[in-house]
Amino acid sequence: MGLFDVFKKKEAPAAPDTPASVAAEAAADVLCAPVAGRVIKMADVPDPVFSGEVLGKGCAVWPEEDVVYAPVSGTVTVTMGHAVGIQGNDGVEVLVHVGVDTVNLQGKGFTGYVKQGDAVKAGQPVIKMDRSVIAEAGYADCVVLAVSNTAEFSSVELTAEPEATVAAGAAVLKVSK
Amino acid sequence: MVAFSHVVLDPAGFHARPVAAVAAAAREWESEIELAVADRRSSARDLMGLMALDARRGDEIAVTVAGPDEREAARALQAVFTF
Repeated sequence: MGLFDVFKKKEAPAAPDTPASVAAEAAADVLCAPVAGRVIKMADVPDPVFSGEVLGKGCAVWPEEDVVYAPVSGTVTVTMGHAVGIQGNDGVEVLVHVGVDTVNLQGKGFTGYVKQGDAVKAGQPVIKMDRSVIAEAGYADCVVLAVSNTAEFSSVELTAEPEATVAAGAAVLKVSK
Repeated sequence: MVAFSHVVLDPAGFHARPVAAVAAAAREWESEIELAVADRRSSARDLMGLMALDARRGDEIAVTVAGPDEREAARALQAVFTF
């Protein structure tokens, strides 16, 4: 380590500005698309832990943009770089998981905008991903939206058309007690 | 009650994949199954609770199993603590 490394550290870029929120089609029984892109059924996610609905029912979006937004309003329970858990104000617990096996990136390529305990509104930015970092590592970048407490609902239904392109914040899932 | 512990070896910690494996295994049994890391606790059936344990490589997870099928449940559960 050189003598001037001390000074270099000080020149590290400041935390990037948080992107603007998007308008979310939020409702008590609705989950919104966490990112703009092409919606797919959970069964079509290229990873059995998701497609088998082990982490809950839901859907996924192949992203066309880099910013990932909260699908519901609530409180952040978990943040992991590539994933955010939110306890929704209306009883739904949701995991937003960016990519498959991206845990191995150990946060590289991800910028987080929220921390555990934060209150978030549907449509508020939570993570920004660098899709080129994910692609270079050879991982799929689909953004999974899973209802962690699926067992508490009689149904978790995809309301968006599979393979349709949606805006971030568009209603995609409906839960029923 | 049956108890065992596991030290996390996976450099990625106790993330979505192992959490899913533990929760899926726990759902097969009647017994109450609880995981604890330091002072954080979660039911083994609570996916979000398990992730919030935030167990990293080197952390010890203490597992307790209590109920009518606790012996079989503990044995089956131990088999998924491979991370």
